[in-house]
Amino acid sequence: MPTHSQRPFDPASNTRVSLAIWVLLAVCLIRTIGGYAGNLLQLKKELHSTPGATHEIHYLRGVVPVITDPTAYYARFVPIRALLPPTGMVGYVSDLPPVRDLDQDIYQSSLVLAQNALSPLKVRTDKRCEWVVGNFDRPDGARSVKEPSLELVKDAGNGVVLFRRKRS
Amino acid sequence: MSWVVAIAIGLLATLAVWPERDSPWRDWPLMLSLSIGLGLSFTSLTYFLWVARLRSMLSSPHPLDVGLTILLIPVVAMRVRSWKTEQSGPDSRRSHGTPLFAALTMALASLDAAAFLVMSRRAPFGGWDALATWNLKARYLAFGGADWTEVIRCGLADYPLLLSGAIARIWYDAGHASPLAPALIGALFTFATAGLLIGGLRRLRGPMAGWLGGTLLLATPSFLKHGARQYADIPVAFFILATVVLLTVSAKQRGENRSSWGFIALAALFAGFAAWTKNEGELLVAVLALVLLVGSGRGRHLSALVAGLTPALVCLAYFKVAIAPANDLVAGQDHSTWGKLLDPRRYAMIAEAFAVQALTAGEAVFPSLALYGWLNRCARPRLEPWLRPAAALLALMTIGYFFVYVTTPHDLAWHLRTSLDRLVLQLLPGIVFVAIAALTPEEYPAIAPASTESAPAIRVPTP
Repeated sequence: MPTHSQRPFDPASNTRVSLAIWVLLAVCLIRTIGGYAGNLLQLKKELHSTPGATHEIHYLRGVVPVITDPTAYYARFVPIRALLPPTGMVGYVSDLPPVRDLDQDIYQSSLVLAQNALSPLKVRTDKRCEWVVGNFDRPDGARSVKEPSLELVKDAGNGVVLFRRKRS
Repeated sequence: MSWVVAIAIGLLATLAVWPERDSPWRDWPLMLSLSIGLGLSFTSLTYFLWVARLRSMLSSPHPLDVGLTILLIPVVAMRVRSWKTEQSGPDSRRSHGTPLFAALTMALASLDAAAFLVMSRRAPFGGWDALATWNLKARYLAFGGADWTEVIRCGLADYPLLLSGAIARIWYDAGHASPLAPALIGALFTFATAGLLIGGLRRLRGPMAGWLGGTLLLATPSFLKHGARQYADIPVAFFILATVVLLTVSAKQRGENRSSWGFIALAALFAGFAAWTKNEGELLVAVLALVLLVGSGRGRHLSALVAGLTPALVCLAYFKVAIAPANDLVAGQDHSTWGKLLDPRRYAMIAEAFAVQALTAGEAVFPSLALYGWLNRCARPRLEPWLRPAAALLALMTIGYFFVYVTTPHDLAWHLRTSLDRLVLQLLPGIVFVAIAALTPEEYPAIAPASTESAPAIRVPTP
């Protein structure tokens, strides 16, 4: 004699189960379309935006809610990378003001991107190192550095400048 | 190709602890998904050991992998013999809708894979957390030499190194920081999570439940998006799901008086890996230990717990004690913590944020599950005894996350706004697993009403 748990499935229940599955499937379809439609709108916004160094960081930090490729930002550091030692420590200066709001802190964000571009060098916000990298928002940002002990080694012309401490 | 070697090692390790007389080949989606996570994690761990302690003795990390493989092969060879003698046919649990659902899940997976590729092309180094923390730490681990300890100056300073180690491992072998490595790791963990969900439900509730769970997760673009952004929350979600699935499988094995030691050891291993990925994983380790102590308390199970936790926790202890700075959430506790614990406004604010997430997280995945459960009332929600440890684990994790917010030293609104959605994503696959397992009868009927006449006799849950 079949036990209760082995009896044939009740067709009425079966219809209900079928309905539940089809409804779940429809909901999944709607969720997928809705989710990806949001992505496409973001992509459209991105394609109509103006690129630029600070703008890129705004994108990356989600201030403008799209993500993008930091490769162009890293490329700014290529002209000075060959002049630096492969490992060790370098200083870092910038004309960007630190902001308290973590989400909007472009100074910190540009430092992180510089660390990525210059790794495995250790990048410190310290001007006492032998080598100091300047990462400026304005092309003439190097003028904001009023440090007589630093001499300009290379200005890459894109806001990235390399200084070296003068030997006393 | 080092990721292929990693997965091969993962496959050997999974087979080595898979219980005897329980053929893993029948559960190939589960076995393969576990192997992906295990392999990437194990080789990340050995790479960290080499970078931190063994570099002076070994010129490369490869001898560690060779040693691990040599250790595992004889164990697997012995297991294979026991699986050959097992008398079990193919999985007979089928319904008429299974092929259709399998095709739909595969179609969704293909769409997601295409979307993943587009997103990875747009942001090859991932989202902000990936750039500022995981990939930056990986750069120092791969190319920093003796300066690898610079990892503690990157982004989330005290966060552990599983994800960064897995990326660094590939970069070290390639010789340069290719953006393909973090994207590949992100893709492997994202799709292995879907595979694990399908495989776990398939083993416990039959193929239809597996495809149903897989469809639900793959129809969650925000989960995919976080994977493409290379966030560590997706590997953590994988590890939590692996712990939940293996805990459930081991509980079911125990109920059938079959060996469960290997599954508990694997569950503990994955919980340890979660702790070696993000600090949230430490909560998972504590909760798993509590659930096993209260639920089973048997010495043999505790030995499996200790054996599984040891590899990752040894590395974690070394990193936390010798290298990393204090955690901000722990170091920020002072006498004001008591005031926070007694402040009802904080509880109301957090409860509201949790409620919003319950309605909206993962493109409304929880309301979708609720609707499915409401319509599918013939399959009354049944939290069977073997499903209870997993449900308890997820409930305790949720409570734990709630109290992290209650006591946070940061601005509560900011903390909720910037992290809660990702914490929910970590738990999401585990919750989908438990919900589908609770709401779905073991053998599913045909999904089309017209085919009910030819539906096979199947078991329904006992009222």
